[in-house]
Amino acid sequence: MKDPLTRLLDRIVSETTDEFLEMLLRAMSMAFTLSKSPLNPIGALDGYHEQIDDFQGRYLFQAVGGANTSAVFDRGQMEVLDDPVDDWDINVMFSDNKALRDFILSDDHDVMGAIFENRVQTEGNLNYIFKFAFMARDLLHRFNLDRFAR
Amino acid sequence: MQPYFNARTELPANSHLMKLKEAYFRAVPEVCVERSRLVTQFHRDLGLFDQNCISSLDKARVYRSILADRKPVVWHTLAYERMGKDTTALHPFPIDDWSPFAGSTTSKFKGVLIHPELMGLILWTELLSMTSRRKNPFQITPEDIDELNLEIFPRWMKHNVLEIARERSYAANPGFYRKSSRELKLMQQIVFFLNSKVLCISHTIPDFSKAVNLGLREMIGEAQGKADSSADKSKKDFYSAVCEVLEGIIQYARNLAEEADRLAVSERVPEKKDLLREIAERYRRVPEHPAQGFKDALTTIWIVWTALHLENANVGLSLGRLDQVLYPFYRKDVDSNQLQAKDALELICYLWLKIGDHVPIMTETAEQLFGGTGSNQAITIGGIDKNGNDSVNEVTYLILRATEIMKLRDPNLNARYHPEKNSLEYLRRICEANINTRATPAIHNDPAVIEALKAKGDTEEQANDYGVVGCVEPVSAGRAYAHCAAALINLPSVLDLTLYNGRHRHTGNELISIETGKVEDFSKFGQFLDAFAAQTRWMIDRATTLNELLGRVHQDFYPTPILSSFFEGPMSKGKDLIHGGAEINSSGASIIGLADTADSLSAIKELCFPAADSTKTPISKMILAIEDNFQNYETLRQQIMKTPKYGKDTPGADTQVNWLMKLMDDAFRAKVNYRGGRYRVGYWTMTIHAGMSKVTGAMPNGRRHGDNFASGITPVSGVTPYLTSALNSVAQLPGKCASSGMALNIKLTPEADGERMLDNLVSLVKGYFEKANSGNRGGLEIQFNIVDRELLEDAVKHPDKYWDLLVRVSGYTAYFKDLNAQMQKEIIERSEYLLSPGQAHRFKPFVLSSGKGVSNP
Repeated sequence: MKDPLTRLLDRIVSETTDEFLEMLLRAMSMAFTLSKSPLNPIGALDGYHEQIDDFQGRYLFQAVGGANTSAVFDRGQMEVLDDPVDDWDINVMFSDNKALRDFILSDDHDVMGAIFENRVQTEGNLNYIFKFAFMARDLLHRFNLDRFAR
Repeated sequence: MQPYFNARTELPANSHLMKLKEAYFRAVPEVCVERSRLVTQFHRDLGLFDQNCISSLDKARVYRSILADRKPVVWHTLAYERMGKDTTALHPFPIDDWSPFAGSTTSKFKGVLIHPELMGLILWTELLSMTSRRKNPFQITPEDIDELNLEIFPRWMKHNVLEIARERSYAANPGFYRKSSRELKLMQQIVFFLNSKVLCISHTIPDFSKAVNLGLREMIGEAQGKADSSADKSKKDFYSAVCEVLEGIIQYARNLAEEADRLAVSERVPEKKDLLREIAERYRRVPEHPAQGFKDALTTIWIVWTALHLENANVGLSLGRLDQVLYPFYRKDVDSNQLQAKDALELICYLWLKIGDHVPIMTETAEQLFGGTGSNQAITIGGIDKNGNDSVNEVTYLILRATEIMKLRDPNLNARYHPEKNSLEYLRRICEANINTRATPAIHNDPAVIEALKAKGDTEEQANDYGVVGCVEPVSAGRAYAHCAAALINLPSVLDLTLYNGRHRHTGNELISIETGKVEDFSKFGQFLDAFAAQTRWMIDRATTLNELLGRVHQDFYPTPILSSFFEGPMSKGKDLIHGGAEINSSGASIIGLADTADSLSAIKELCFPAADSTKTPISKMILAIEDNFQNYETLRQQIMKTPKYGKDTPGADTQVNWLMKLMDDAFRAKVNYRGGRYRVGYWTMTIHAGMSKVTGAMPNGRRHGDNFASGITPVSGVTPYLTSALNSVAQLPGKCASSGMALNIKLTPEADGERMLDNLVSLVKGYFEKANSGNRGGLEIQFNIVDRELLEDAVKHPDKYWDLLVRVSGYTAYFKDLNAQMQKEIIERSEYLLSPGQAHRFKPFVLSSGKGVSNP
């Protein structure tokens, strides 16, 4: 029986749904919380939280014609909001969840690739999205799920 | 001098040199974290992350510390390779290094140097996948990934050039929260223009002459004297900065000497022990003191070269006229029986391997734009000297031979030829090297290039002493801080903005530029050209505005005390290069898609604005046709194919190319850069013409969506079956409007009768260069791929069989197997001529598999 986090990650890599962003943020948030816990039951998450221990970042994700979602990193915590934060460091505007998935996870269409194809646009500091994409890929990597894009 | 001096010298296949070369080709690049670690540490220790401005002296202290603290690697012992079809891991293999040149650009045998101040953070996303990516993988250890992810990259998130510029650009949109300037947004959309200052400013040539002739200790003495006597604080600080970095370089050489001594103690092979002791002795002598001979001079150049890469990402930093710098040392050693030509040749070959010891950072998507590129470190040989005399010497021929033997993509060899001053035998030898290597050197026409440089203000002496930068860009060597790749303009985008009244197909209905009128309302072709010219000037305004913004950021945060120490100008002005210290302070732009745009203008003129209205094709129909990718407009496309094309040696499209080149030159020349210099224009496209073509829709010249643009200044493939016509068209172009160089790519079928082919090739180059006409001195440059289509197609299928197959891209040389699929297709589809009859083969288009590209391993 797989744990809830692994089940969520399986879904993220195996299907492209309109819930991709929500699932990814939920998985990351869960992973950071578990990783930080002294009772962390998942060895693969050891040390995962270290990359946000000293990190402050505010992300706004805007689907074209859809909902706004925010992710806020502060003092070692990750918070996911259904409302837009107004003082973001990076604002990612994407045409659909597949475009966002390619933008963040796929090796064939990496961060610059999605911009290249005009399916994702950003405003703000690009280094925040580079870091975010690394954290997302790192999570999949820890569960040996990062080969799906090939 | 023998005209074929050392043309046949071979080096034994089982020599230490050749074994090292074999290891070089086996090795995949390894990410090196050392520089990033040290630059981060010293920026933190000196409090530079908190400063609003970083001076040359601040930077110099950082670089001195890095040079003193970096690991002194005398010989490499290990590299990594990919084994067979296994893409999941890279495997280590041992190296038996006998190089006489200690030291390296990175701590690795073939390294990837990361500059987090520039675009180093772009690797962040791919840290976990770069080892197993299918094309051009990089080796990186888990420990290095952790260090970059946790310690290094986070420190630079708000401190690299692009993001500092972005913060500043918000001021252009007051009232908005973090809205980047229009120029930055346009660059991020990629299809309009690129600006390489986010990546580097290294498209230039340092001056090695002082370092080899005087030694760094005497240069320190000069700088110290000026610092002591100067009342101006900024000048005093600059001279102190020069002292700091030169002391750092000396320290690095001493550390290498100590390490060589240490290794010698435990070395069991007597010849290696002797070599290590000789290295230790030599590195204690140079670069601190004047070079005593040929090997000393090469060592000084090498150590200075590694120091320069610590300061700036290497994209086209070029070595200049090495045959001129080295010849006095060679002559002295040979005359005193201390050196034989064959030994000198071997030393040059070893240096070539060292020069290629690093590759630029590259993400998977960057591969689409720049795939397969090295660092484009050009070396220039031959031509005339400052005073206008023949400067071809024995080292010129040795460098040619070394290039034939090593067949490396870096360094990128460029040969100057002056028809009135250099011998025909020399030209013959250059052509022979092209046949032997299939791709190098590029050949430059001295009279035409010198005239183009003088037209932009260079003095006779400065112009005569030009060297080639990066791909094909001529600049006065060691005097011009030219940054030839400041702006890369996608000209077909200007055509889109004209056709759609300020909009672009890539960005939809959004008004991107200015409204220059609906083309459907134009009654004369002149109105169309006026609109095109207005859109061009708008685009150039944007590209240069961004270049200024980025240039100011470099001035405030990224001075270059190391490069400034090896340049004419900064020491007399007391000023860093980034603040205008050079003698010549130009910036450069390169134009992508010239031939396709010119042919499109020609088709629009002939079909949409004909002399007789009865034959007119409404321009609205042309627009519908390109939007439809000509799928339902084959008749119109056939009409288009009959309109005049550039490259046929007829008026018509050639006139459009002339007009476009003058337009670009006028528009750029009107701009003054942040260092007080002017912009110069070139027509070389690296691999960007293939990348840009992927995001550019069908065009009025009949080009379909996704088809490659023609490269450099080369006519569109398949336009003319006659080689002479193509060369005549190019030779009549206004060379003075291409003072930042042009790349003319000609592909020839190898012929069984080698002597006859060589005779014909010499005649071809000579004729092209000597085709003077009103206002022109013949073609500026020509470069070849002497390889047939059958072999290239086989190389696509069996890349391992062709591991060292060199090709000319659009300026630089590359290994064919490393190029992305789109670029491989472009080279395969280039017009291929049989030299003797001068006619092109008729080939079908090369089909990319899976609709995306050939399946590269």
